[in-house]
Amino acid sequence: MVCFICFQGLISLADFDAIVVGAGIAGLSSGYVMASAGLNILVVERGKVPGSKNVTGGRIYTHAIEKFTPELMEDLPFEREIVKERISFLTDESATTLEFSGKTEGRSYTVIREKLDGWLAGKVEEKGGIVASGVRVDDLIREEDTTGICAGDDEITARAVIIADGVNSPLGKKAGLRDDFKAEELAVGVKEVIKLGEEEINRRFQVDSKEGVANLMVGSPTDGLPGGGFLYTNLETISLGIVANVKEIASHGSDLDELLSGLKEHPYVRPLINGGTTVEYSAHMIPEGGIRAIPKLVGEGYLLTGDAAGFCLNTGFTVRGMDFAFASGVLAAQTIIKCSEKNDFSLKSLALYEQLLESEFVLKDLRKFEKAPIFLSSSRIYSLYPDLVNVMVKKIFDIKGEQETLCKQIREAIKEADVSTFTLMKDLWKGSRIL
Amino acid sequence: MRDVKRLSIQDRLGLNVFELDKEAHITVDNELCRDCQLKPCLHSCPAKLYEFEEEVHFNYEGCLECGTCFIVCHQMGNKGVNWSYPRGGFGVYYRYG
Ligand SMILES: Cc1cc2nc3c(=O)[nH]c(=O)nc-3n(C[C@H](O)[C@H](O)[C@H](O)COP(=O)(O)OP(=O)(O)OC[C@H]3O[C@@H](n4cnc5c(N)ncnc54)[C@H](O)[C@@H]3O)c2cc1C
Ligand code: SF4
Ligand code: SF4
Repeated sequence: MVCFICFQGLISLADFDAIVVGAGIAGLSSGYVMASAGLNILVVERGKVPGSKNVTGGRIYTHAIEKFTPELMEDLPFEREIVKERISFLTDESATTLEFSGKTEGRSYTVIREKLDGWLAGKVEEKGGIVASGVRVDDLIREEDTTGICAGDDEITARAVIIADGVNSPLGKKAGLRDDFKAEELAVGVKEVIKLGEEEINRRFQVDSKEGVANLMVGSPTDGLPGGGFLYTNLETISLGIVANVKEIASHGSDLDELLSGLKEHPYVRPLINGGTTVEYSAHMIPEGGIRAIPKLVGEGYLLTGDAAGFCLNTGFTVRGMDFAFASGVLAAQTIIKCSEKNDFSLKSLALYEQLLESEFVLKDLRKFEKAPIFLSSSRIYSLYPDLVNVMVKKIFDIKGEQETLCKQIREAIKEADVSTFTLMKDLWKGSRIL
Repeated sequence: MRDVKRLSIQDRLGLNVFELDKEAHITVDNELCRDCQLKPCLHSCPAKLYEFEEEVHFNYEGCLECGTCFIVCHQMGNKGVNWSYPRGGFGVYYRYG
C-alpha cells in the first residue's frame, strides 16, 4: 500500500495515482506520459502480453507521437513508411486505381500491433510504470475519493482510472459513461496477414525496403455494402482485409470471410499476393459513428479514451484511429498530472480532459467531419460509382475501331450506369463539402 | 508460382494461436434463440462459430474476440448471446494484429 499526504493534510489511501485499463495505444500512451511525470501508475492488460489482443489495418499517422513524445520516434518499431497512396475502385472484373507517390509532410508508417504495443509497454516500464498483463479487469469500484478495479479476487485502488479498453469497452459501460455502440455506428474488419518476404514486396510494389504502400479499395470487396478493402505493406508481410458496416452485413446476410476470399482472387489483388503464405486471420470492430456517437468522456474518477470513447475517423480515403487513441491517452494523462498537482480529482477537475480534447485535433476533426458517417452510408458510393468509374475508364481506353470523343463516352457511361446527372452532381457537391 | 489458395474458415482459424480456457466466455441461450427471426449471429461472426441445426450451436474455441455477435444479437436478434472477453491470459493470441 502506498499512502501519500495531501496538501490539506488529508490522507488518501490509494495503491496508485492512476490505473489504466487496457494496454492498447491509448492506454500505453497515457501510461507512458504519467510515468514520465513521476506518477505511480499501473496498466492492466487482459492479453498474455500487450498487443496480443489488438488488431489494426494498418498504418499509424505519427503526428501525435511527434508532437507529444518526440523521443519515442527514434526507435519506434515501424514496418514501412508509406510513400504510395492508392485508392482503387473495384468491380468484379476490373479496377481503376488512383495513385499518389511521393513524400507527404505528415508521415505515416505501417505497424504490427504485437510489436508496437509490446515495445510501448517496455517504454512505460522504463519510466517506472507497472504493466500487468494476463489480467482481465472485471469491475470498477468507487468509494468516496478513490476509484479502483476488481480483477478476480483482487481489488486495487487509485485516485482515478483511465479506461482504455477498446471498442467494446465493458468497463466504460460499468463506469456508466457509455452504452453499446449501435450496429450502424460500427464496422467490423477481417484481415489476413500474408507473408511474401521483404525483397518480393519491394519488387511487386516497386518500393525500397523501408518504403511501403497503402491501398484502400471500394466496390466489389464488400459486394457494394458500406465499407471497403484495404492492403498495407509491412516489412515482410502484407495486411489484406475488408471492413464493413455491422448493421449492413447483419441485415444483408453477407459473410465477411467469403468476401475476403473473393478479394484475394480479384484480378487486381491476386497478382499482388500470389504465392504468399497466410500466417494469421483476425477480426475486430471499429467505432465509426463519428462525433454524434461520442459517449460521456468523464465520470467521477474515470476518463474514457481511444476506441472506447469512439475516437476514430473514417473519411473514405483515410482511416484514423491510432493517432486519436495515442493523443487521447496523452491528454488523459496530462489531465491526471494536473489533478495530481492540485491534489484535486473531483469531476470538475477531471473535466479538463474534455477541454484538452476540444483544443486538439481529436474532437476538432471529429466535429469537422460530423456528417461523414451519414454521407458514407449511401450505397451509391459502394456499388454505383465504382461501376461508373470503371465503365467510363474502360470506354476511354477501349479501341475497337472507330473512336468516340471523351465527352460522348462519359455521357454514355452515365447513361449505362442508370444514374441521373442530378444525383451524381449532388453527391459530388455534397461529398466535396462533407469529406 | 503457386496460386492464391482458397482458405476455408477452419484453415484460417488453424493459423492462429489460441490459449484455450476450460470455461466458455460466450454462451447462447436457445430459449431466446427460438424466437429470433433474423438469427444474425449465424453469418455475422467472422469466425463462423455459430451454426444452426435444430438449435443454435456455438463453439467458443476459435473466437477472435471482436464482439460482433453480441452487437447483432442484442440489437437485431433476441439477446440469446451472453458475452464477455475470456479470462486474463486466455483466448486468441495475435502474433501480428
Ligand atoms: C481492421 C481495422 C483496420 C484499421 N485500420 C487503421 C489504420 O489503418 N490506421 C489507424 O490509425 N487506425 C486503424 N484502425 C483503428 C485502430 O486500430 C484503433 O483505433 C486503435 O487500435 C484503438 O486503440 P485503443 O488503444 O483505443 O484500443 P485497443 O487497441 O483495442 O486496446 C484496448 C486494450 O484493452 C484491453 N482490454 C479490454 N478489456 C480489458 C479488460 N477488461 N481488462 C484488461 N484489459 C482489457 C485489450 O486487450 C486491448 O489491449 C483500424 C481498426 C481495424 C479493426
Ligand atoms: S442472434 Fe442471438 S438470439 Fe438470435 S439466434 Fe443468434 S444467438 Fe440466438
Ligand atoms: S466475438 Fe467475434 S469471433 Fe467471437 S463469437 Fe462473437 S462474432 Fe464470433
